[in-house]
Amino acid sequence: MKLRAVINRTSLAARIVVVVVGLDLLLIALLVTLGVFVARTELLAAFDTSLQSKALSIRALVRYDEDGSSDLIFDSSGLPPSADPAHPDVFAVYLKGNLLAESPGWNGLPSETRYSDDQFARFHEQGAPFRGLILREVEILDREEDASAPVAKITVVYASSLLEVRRRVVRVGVYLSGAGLILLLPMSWLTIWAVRRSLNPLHDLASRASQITVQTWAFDVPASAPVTPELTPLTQALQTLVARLHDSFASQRQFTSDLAHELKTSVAIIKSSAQVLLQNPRSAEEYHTGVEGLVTDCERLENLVERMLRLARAEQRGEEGARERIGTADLLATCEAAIGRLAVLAAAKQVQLSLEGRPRIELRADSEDLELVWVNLLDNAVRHSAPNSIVHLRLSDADRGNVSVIVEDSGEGISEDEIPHVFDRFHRGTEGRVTTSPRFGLGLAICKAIIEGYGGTIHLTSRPGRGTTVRADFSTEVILSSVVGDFPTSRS
Amino acid sequence: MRVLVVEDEQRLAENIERGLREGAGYAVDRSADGEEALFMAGSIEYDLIILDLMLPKRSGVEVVKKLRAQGKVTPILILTARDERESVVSLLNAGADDYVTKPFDLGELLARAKAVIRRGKGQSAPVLSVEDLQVDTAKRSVHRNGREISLTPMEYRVLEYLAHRQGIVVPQTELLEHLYDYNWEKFSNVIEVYISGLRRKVDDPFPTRLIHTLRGHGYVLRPDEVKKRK
Repeated sequence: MKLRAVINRTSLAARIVVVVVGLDLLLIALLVTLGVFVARTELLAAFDTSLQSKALSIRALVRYDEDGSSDLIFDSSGLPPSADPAHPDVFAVYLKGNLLAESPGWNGLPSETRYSDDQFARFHEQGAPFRGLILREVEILDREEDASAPVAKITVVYASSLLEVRRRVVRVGVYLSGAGLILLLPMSWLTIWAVRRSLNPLHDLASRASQITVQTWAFDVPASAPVTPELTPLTQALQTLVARLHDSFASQRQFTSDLAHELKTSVAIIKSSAQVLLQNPRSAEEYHTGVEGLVTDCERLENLVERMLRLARAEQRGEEGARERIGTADLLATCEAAIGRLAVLAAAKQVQLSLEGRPRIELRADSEDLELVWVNLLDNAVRHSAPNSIVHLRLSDADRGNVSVIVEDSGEGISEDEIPHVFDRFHRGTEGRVTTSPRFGLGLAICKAIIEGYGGTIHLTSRPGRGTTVRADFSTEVILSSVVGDFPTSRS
Repeated sequence: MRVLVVEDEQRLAENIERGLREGAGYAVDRSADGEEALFMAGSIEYDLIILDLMLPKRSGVEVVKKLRAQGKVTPILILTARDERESVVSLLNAGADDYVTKPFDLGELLARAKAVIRRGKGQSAPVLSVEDLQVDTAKRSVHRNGREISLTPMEYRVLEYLAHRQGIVVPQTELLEHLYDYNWEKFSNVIEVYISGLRRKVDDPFPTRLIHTLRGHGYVLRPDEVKKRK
């Protein structure tokens, strides 16, 4: 048993033990009090009985004189023995107010005597407490032959020392307290043992929890935890925490691994391009074409690194909420700029771009960031649209205080099981990388990070064959000013 | 030799194809997804499949398992960007023959490709010998009786294939399948032209014949049992 653990005030075990032992002590004190009270009552009752019988025997010692006169005498030969030789009993017999007989040391009842029930008296005599019984005007037991003569009546006072009773009561108290304290020791020990034992499930849980590392995420809940109702919330909280940490760690690891894969692939392209070029002697023209290809390959790598940095910055902003150095962006202007940048691709794919709704809204955001988001969304929409279809970019502040930007196409759509992954980093969809321009699967992840970094939300809904809608919403805290202008509502 | 390159990164696939064509004289077909790769490998007897792991539609590991389950013995060389021991072990256990991690060295890729092909044909030395004829697959040079013989690229490819399969009768259709990829027009009489060219350079100046024609069956490279009639 570690004493330190028991003494430590903040320890749960110590607190429980202290409370239980304290209650034990209180209980012992109550029991002792009750025991003493009962013992005192019982002893006093016995004392009174003995007083009664002694007073009666004194009464019996008063008799008529044998010479035939009607005088009363006191026969002191049959006195009852004193209970306490150190403080002998005292008595007195009165006949019609005159003292008939008295014990040695009788000084009459002191003035401070307390009476109860009109027959008991308490006083101090010889430095000890005395309790006396007064038999008032009782007939004497001795009878004259002439039965018609009136029987003489006497008053008997008999008192004994209470010291012996007191001593016994004290002894009972001492015995009871001693027994209680002796019992308290094993009880305390038992309490400490039981408390520590009942805390075992907590220790088990803690030791299992401490076994969780980034290598082994398994959190086996010890068998004792589920059957301990007090531990259920803690166990559940731990399980949830571990699962969440594991997920976030796994996704981070997946991301790092994907990133490494992309970087290695990009480097592999550059290296193999250069080595193919060096494989055989070539004409100046061939070298020229080859080096041009190498530059394109480098641009691919540069593109990847740039996108990664943008993603990292946007995510960092989301985490830190570092908004102080951000300027203001005119939402409509960023949308118009994005449409302008997509014009060539849209024309090549024969897709019409339409900007609808033009509230003048200023946001606390970087305009380049917002433009990038709209460009990414429009780019995806255009790429997945059939010729002669329309891609809509809608701005709306109809919902007061909220601004939303919606990009809607009527293209091929996204299958239901793919939708939850579209915002994942390096998610490419089913088309894979078989396109002319390098597509890393970072576009939507960047959009999400940027929008969320500015405190907004982004959602995607899609129906295969019918089209896809992406909606970005900004809350009031990002919006600096909002003026609804009377502009035409459609343009193509 | 005919190789299937399965890689969804277009630029990388182009570079590997070019490296194999120019550096080893192989015929090369390309595929950009796992599904198509399985179909191509199932319908054509390739001498080697170079397979990327991260593929659309079907992963590289799936392709390996599926091919081996179909009983295909074509050697498979894996291209991987992940060098974690586990994935490499599971790949080799799944039936891959060797692997190269990205970014790889083109020279190493070619050397491994050649080695895997050789082993697949039951040859382990890089120099294939039939009597006094030696075909050096690393240097792509041919010697007979210590003298270097200069061949056209196509003649070399025919001779190299026959040397890999020495002692075995190779039908003309097999030669066609292994020496040309999808980009070439196939005419059977072209093979006969290369064979006669090879005979003139490899057999005619020497006392024994190594290239034999079994009419209706095909060609075989082996020592002559009968002395050449003068």
